[in-house]
Amino acid sequence: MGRGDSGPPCPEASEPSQFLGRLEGLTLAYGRRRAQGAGAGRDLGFGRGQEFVGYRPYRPGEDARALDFSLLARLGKPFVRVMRPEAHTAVTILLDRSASMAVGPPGKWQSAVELALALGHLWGSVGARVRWLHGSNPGSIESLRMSRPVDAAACRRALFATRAEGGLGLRDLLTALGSGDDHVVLIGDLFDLQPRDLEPWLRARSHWSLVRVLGPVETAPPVGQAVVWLDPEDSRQRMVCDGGADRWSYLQALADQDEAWQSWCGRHRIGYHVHLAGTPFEDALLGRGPHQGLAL
Amino acid sequence: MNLGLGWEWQHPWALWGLPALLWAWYWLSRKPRPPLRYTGSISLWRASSALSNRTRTRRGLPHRFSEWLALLLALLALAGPEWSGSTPPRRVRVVVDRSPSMYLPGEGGPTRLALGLASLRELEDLGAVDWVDGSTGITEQGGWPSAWDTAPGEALQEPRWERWDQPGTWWLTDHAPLASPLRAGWLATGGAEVPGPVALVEDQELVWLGGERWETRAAPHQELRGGAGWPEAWRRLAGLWAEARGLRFGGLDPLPQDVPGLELVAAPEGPGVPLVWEGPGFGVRGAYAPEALRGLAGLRPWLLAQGADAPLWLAWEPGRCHTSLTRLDAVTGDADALAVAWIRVFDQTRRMPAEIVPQSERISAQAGLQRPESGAALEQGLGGTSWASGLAVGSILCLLLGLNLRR
Repeated sequence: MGRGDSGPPCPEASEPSQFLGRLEGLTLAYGRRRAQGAGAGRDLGFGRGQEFVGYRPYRPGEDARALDFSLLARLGKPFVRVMRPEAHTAVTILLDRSASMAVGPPGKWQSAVELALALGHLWGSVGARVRWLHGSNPGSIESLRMSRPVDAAACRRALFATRAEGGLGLRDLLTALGSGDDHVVLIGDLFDLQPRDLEPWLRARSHWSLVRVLGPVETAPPVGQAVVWLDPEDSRQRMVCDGGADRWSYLQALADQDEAWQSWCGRHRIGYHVHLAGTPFEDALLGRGPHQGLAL
Repeated sequence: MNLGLGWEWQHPWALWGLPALLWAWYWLSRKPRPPLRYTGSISLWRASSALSNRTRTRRGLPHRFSEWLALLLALLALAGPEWSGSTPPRRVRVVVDRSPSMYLPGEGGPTRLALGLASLRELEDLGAVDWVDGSTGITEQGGWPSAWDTAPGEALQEPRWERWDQPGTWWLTDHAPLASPLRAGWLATGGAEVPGPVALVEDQELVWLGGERWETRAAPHQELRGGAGWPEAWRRLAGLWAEARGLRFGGLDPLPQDVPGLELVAAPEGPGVPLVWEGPGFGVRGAYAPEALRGLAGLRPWLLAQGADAPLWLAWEPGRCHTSLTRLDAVTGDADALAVAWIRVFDQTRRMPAEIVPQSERISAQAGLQRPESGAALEQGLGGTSWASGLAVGSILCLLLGLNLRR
């Protein structure tokens, strides 16, 4: 790296190989886990706003809450209710595309895009209307809509063609929300956002979810080594910190901030998940892997 | 090594470590350039750095500087700086051997002492000198004490040279010291053997003729003088002693300086104060004049071990034996032991004929003038204040400070 004039290293996202196959695999795995009542993806709004489509016999091991007790009393056999998400559910995914998401490697923006597309794919598979909001500058907020399955490829290509740059953050994207969104998912590093920024928007929305994407350089900065930290949105902003006391204070502040988000989300029944850049999106959406404790 | 401005180094070779120290300073002060990294959390870094800055203030004084300073001070302490003032006085100390051999004829000089002084002045610009009698420690500042041109009335021992091994000091003697000094310089005049009388045996003197040849001949004229006012018993004892040693009674007048022998000096007449004195096995009762011996310079009290508070009633100097007794009433205890003790005093006090010099002094002191190459005593001067200890303490303190800052 030069002395800070080449910009953050990972501004671009690209479609990984086998990405479509992975999306299909995710859909299948999600369906299986939903059928087993594992509750995957609940924090992202799945399980809410679903409509009834019929009954089927109860299989041992299933969630007892799905049992229809009136049928059990009347027929003497256990049946479970079969639900599916409402076909008219509107989901909006807000993607922080500011330059701070270009930090890496592994790139935060790459992970955020993959996660946003996977989430949209899941919603789309149950018939929901999905749109992604992102942008690099105020006044140039872009909206990608996926009302039909045929729109998915175009949206995927468009998102993978974007770069993380500029200073447009989640706070600015919130102003572009419409009034008909049933689910809102915010994906970003949340460094430029405070819980109080979301308060005005909560009453109007049904369900919210927050996914915080962090890079390894942010969760585990170098130990015992001084580093000149650069602001990706303005590389003239620099901060020289050592790998000792400064690092310790930083990690403490990061933990405090994370705890504040968790506490606030808990109070407002909002899903909250921390996603480490480079982690497969399946881990986040299926609640597996080393970060299972923080899984959705 | 004199660096001017009053600073001198005892071990200037240690200063060769300075270039290495400068290099170490450059190395230690060379900060590695920290790498540049982008992060989205710079606002958190900024906030947390403000928190940790409270402790950073303590670390503001880099421990590396303290450790480097400790190294510098240790190096300077090793070099042994001495401060002798803004205008360094060229003051040296010459310790003179005044044993009898120094007054024997030297090669090209009347005495070895005169030869040594002349040689020393030729070799070095002595400047201000403290002349020290190495045997007695008596110091004369300023010019050469002319009284030292003649041999002292008693045979002085050769100085204990190790007492005078200090910077800025010269030893003036006639033969090379057995152990070379570490810090002082020395000059030996040398001198061939000088045969002659070496001892007195009653009224004869023993003469060494060189090698293994000896002869005896009549001793020179010696006198016992004075004694008026001395207690009768002790005057009679002195007479017997003089007869046994071959001294003739020369009357009551003072003994001339050039006449060997012994003079008995009495206290002024008067009633005196009662004296009750107890010595080692014997005692004296009588009266004495307490102030009679107090003001006389150069007197050596008898039985010094009796203490300063004991009545001083017998003292001596070369050639003279003084008493402050005005009346002797009785001798208690072992009177014979007292008589033997007095005879020892007479023997010790007696001024020997000048030509009687022990054989150990008359043998050859090796030939020629000797002065070692390392005699740098004059360069170091006298009276400088050593800073080495202070620098060493400062070095330790800096080291401790550096270790504390490192934690």
